[in-house]
Amino acid sequence: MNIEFNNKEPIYHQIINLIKKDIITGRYKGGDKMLSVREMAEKYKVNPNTISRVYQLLEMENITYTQRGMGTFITQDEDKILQLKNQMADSVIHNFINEMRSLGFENTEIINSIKKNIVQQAESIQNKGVSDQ
Amino acid sequence: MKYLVEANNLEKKFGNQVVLDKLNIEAAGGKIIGLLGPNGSGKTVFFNMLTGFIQPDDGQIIICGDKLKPQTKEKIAYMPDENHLYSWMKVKDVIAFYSEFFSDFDIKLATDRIISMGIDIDKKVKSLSKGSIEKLRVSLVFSRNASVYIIDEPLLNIDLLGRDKIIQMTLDTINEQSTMIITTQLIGEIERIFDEVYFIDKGKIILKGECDHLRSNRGMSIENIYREVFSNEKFDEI
Repeated sequence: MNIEFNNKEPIYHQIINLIKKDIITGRYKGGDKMLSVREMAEKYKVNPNTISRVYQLLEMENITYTQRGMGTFITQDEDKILQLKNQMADSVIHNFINEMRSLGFENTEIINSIKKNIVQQAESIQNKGVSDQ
Repeated sequence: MKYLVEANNLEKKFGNQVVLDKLNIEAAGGKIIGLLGPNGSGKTVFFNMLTGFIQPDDGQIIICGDKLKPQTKEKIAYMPDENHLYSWMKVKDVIAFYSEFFSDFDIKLATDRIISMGIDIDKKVKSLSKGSIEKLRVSLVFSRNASVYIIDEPLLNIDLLGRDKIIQMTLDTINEQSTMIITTQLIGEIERIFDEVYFIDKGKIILKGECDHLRSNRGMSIENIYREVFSNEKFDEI
């Protein structure tokens, strides 16, 4: 797999976010065994040291756990996964709000613009559904 | 033994010109280190010192815990920046030559890699394109099982997919018992596999650090940190 990394952000950070995303979306399930450091390094085409660091940090956050001699596994704690989902959503929204503010939008304008866009998107999906029939 | 390469306070003058100025570099096992600097900053002089071609005026080099001596040279796999292969040889003869010359050379691995790079081993070196010669040289050096890899410009003249293969080969080669020091001008292509970088200017290390640390401190890629450091201009990254 070829992932395009953004070189200005720490690579380990970007990989942690990719793995978290895979957990939230259910691509990795609670209790699943993670790839070995070598395999993961191969997958993302990065230095194995970067992956070691990723694994250490994921474990520190209790997102994964290691069983001696068995490997690293995804947490089976559903609350943890939910918490992760909320954390990632918060961070997306946080960035979005900052961007909108930098464009000069006020709080109510930001909320209105979200509402408008959600409705528009829903309509366009519905219309597409109709025209397909 | 923490470091496989330790360069302590290396100094070198050519006439009045200082080419290395109290240079310190350490490379630990398992690490891929980028030595980055403009042309003429002293990178190749340093490499020639590590491999014993040039003696320092002062300072010392420790390789795998030992002072530099002929036996330590065997632990170093060096790819110089210029073609060092005999052009009249066929590729398969070059492979045999390497196998005879270096006891740590894996002839099967090298042959497989060279073929997978699309090089015909029955051709003579001189009939290969510039890029193919580079691919051949990189494949040869990474097929040694050395403790220290010193690679001067592994990506130059190499096509895009070839560069991907070389980066993969680099990752396949590194292990906890080996270390690599790589120079390149194509920083953006390879920076994601560097653990640490040293920026060298006029024979002096002007900045060093762990890559991800530098990125998060400065919010910039290593390539743009290089631009900022060497052009002395502020660089805004979008």
